[in-house]
Amino acid sequence: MRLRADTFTALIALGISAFILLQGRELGLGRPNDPGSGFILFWTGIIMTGLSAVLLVQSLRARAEDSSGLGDAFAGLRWGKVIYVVALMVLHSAAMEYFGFVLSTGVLLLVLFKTVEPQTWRVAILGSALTTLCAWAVFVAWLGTQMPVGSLFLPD
Amino acid sequence: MRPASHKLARRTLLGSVLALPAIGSARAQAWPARPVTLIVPWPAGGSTDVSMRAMAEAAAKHLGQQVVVDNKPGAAGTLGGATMAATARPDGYTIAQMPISMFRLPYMQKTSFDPQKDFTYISNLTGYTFGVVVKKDSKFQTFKDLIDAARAEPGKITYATPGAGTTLHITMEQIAAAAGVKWTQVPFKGGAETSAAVMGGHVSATADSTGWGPLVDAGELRLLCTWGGAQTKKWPNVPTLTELGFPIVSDSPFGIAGPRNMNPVAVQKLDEAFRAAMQDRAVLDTLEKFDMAPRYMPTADYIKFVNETIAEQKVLIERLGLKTS
Amino acid sequence: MDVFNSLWLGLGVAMQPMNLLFCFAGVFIGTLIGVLPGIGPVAAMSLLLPITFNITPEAAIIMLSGIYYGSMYGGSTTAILVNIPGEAASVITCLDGYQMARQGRAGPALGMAAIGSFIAGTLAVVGLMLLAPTLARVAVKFGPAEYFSLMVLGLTILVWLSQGSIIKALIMACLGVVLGLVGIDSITAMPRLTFDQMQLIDGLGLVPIVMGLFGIAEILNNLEQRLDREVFQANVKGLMPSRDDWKRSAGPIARGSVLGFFLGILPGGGAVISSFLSYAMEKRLSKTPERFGKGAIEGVAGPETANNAAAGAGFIPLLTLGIPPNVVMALLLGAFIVHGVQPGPLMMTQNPQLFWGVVASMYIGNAMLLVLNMPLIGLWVQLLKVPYKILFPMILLFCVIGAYSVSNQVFDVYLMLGFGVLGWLMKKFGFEPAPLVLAFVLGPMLENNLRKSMILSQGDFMMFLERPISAVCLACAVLLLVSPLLPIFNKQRKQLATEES
Repeated sequence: MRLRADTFTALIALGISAFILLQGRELGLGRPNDPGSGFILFWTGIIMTGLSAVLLVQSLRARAEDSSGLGDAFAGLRWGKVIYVVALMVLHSAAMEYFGFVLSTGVLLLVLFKTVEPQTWRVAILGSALTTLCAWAVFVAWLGTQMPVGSLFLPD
Repeated sequence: MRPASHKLARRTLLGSVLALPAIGSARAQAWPARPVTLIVPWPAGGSTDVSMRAMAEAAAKHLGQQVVVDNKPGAAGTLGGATMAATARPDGYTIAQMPISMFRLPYMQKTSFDPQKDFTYISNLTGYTFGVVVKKDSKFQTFKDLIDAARAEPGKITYATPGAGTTLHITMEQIAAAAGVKWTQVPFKGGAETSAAVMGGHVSATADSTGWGPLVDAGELRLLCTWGGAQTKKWPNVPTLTELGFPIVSDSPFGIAGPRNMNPVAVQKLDEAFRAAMQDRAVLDTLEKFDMAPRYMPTADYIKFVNETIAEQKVLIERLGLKTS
Repeated sequence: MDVFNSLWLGLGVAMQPMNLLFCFAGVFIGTLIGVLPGIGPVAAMSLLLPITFNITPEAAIIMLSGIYYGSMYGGSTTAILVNIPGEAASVITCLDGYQMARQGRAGPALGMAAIGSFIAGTLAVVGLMLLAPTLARVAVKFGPAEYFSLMVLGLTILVWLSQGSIIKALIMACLGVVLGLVGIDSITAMPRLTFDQMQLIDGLGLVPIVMGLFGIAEILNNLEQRLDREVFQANVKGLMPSRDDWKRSAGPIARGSVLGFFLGILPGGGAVISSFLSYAMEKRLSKTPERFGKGAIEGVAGPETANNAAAGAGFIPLLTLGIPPNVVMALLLGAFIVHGVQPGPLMMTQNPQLFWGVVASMYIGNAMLLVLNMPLIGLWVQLLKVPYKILFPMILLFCVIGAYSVSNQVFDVYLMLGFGVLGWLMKKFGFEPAPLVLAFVLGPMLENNLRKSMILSQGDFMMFLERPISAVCLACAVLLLVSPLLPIFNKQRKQLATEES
């Protein structure tokens, strides 16, 4: 039997609820005249467990043709691109601290323009350079945002 | 005379030799050769930020280099210092404002820094003005009335603070312990809510920094006591805790520090610059607007003060049961 | 009358050329930072604060206030055009505003938001002038018990906002509450759910979460499709709202103004609560509630009006009591103090020039905003004609800058990306982000006020029912929860009745 999407999410939600519930109990429920740190967490965990259980039951009882499988959510879509872009963004954030905002952003935009939906070199280079420059001018120079300078360029 | 000057010369020589591996002697002579970054662990525009900016500007005049303020708010004012301890070089070009939470948080939870070991303390600068206020039609005319009421009905008197574990909370509990009474803290979020809480009659009193000022001046709130070493300029008739028989001075003093093993030349130059800044007219005016009393301490005094504070905070946190498992 | 004399004095101050100039500068910068995601009024005002040291207090406060209400105008623009709410108050605007943009109706959506904002802004100033001292006194009557009940009402309304499965919406709301509780416990100062990470001590930032769940997730969803597909309909139909739009929006604007004004006076979260309360109310009152979430102009007009009214009303506690109801007002308080003026009960008599000058400048500023924004709408709509494959890297970049600039920490950028992926997955499985975000904002307030109430009442739950404002809020919440069940009860009762007979 294929795994239904709702069954899958309900099971994840159940897991999260259990975690919240346990965290809440660990933090302490306190007394009525001074509820503890875990009070709301615990009760939110209880409510969420109940809700996830309802979702689970609903998903199992739904007729097969009404419910979508887990794979359907990704079928025919370019989800590889999504992972690629997110990975690039993570790399960019890490690079920003060493190479500084301007350099890493210029490179990021160039790669994005060139690889996700390939543009001509002219558009890619011009687009990334102009965008980086404008962003720097507006945010850093004018609004004074403290974007990372990059530890590479700091004299020692 | 000769031996003495000899000794002095040798000590300077020794000093520069010791400093050599870390920074290079030529650079030590020329310090500061570029702008100094001052990390302020509070949001830009707040009272601490504005006063630190005023001091940075005045100190820059004496250093002959810019002092650039970098706001890194977070983790109850400890994120800035923690980041500096973890990443900055001890060349004196990165320093941070050190709020009292730096000495308190390590005893409340695991932190990435140790205030005793990870910093080179430079100088103490100033502190805040705290006080206790009640509503204008409250039956408490004096601070003693409030304490007496707490004694008559333990736990019934409630007071608002801008947050649990703040200096306000800790000092109020110190007072209660000294007077042998029990009262109940109600922590609000930040300073703004505490004035509203006492005005709306939701709590018996509020302990906070001078956000209550205009309401006291307008006669909406009554100021029962202030917590500084001396009476305040603005409210000279209001007694201090010491005058009321509690030997407590509570003003959350703050200073500046660099990463550990910092270039001693830089420490000395920065201390001089900030001492001069604390005599600057513009700085004093800014401090007065925020009711902050200047409390400059040179390096040696500040180090001693920090060690005392750390020991004191440890005891207080344990006694109040604020420590996590 | 006294008020008019005072206003006349204020207009005199506000019309001085220097003050007019700074007013314009303020609303212009405000609009810009409102449009740019992430950089909020707080960041902009604190960056500009040192510049104002050298000008007169009147000019300084006029400019800083202008930035604030200007940013409220601009905030709707990004929400409508690219589905990125710059702050929690414009989350709701995304729901219908972005749908309108996709249908080629970005013009009317932006126009109605601007007009609604203008009306609300002006009404809020009138209210501020006439009712300020009285209202501020009522607002402090809101204690922890009243706040708790208001939050319960707010969370109950979340159920009404959900488009799809109510169960899924409630799960998201629970998750939002829990995420909101990460960080130092406001009552005991114990760190919760921080797993010994320094970055988590202050809790998760709202801006990275909101920009991740809405902005980044939307980009990821679009990337997954074929990008040459037109995201927005090519032919942009008319820029101005139609007659029909006007008819539909009149009610929401009127109700939103009043609602926003009263909630805005309350310290904390006024703008957020008022915007989605207004949305829920319009959906409830509408004869065609099924249009909501699919591009109903009422869903833009109401909330946008309400959050602007709330922004204006937020000045009341600051100017009359010296109590800032939100972070922006706290910054403004700092600005007043730097200029040697203490806002509070005495300000109106001690500094009438400043007080009435600022109030009068808000009339002028709101008019300037309308004049400034109407021509800009055409320009913004042009932006949608830029091919998406060129546009999306830029939107990504603005999100990164926005998330970073709030705290100056790369951690927040990672957080935003993480929530972007979460939002992308959530959409696939039919979970909505709005309940999560709103519960994230309201949850901690609910918790904090519940626990404060229990401390104050010494464990007596009756407190919530004994205090009238609190009791009314709770009664409304119960009514809302029970009302969908009522017809069922009726039906069952009828069945029972027939069986008995």
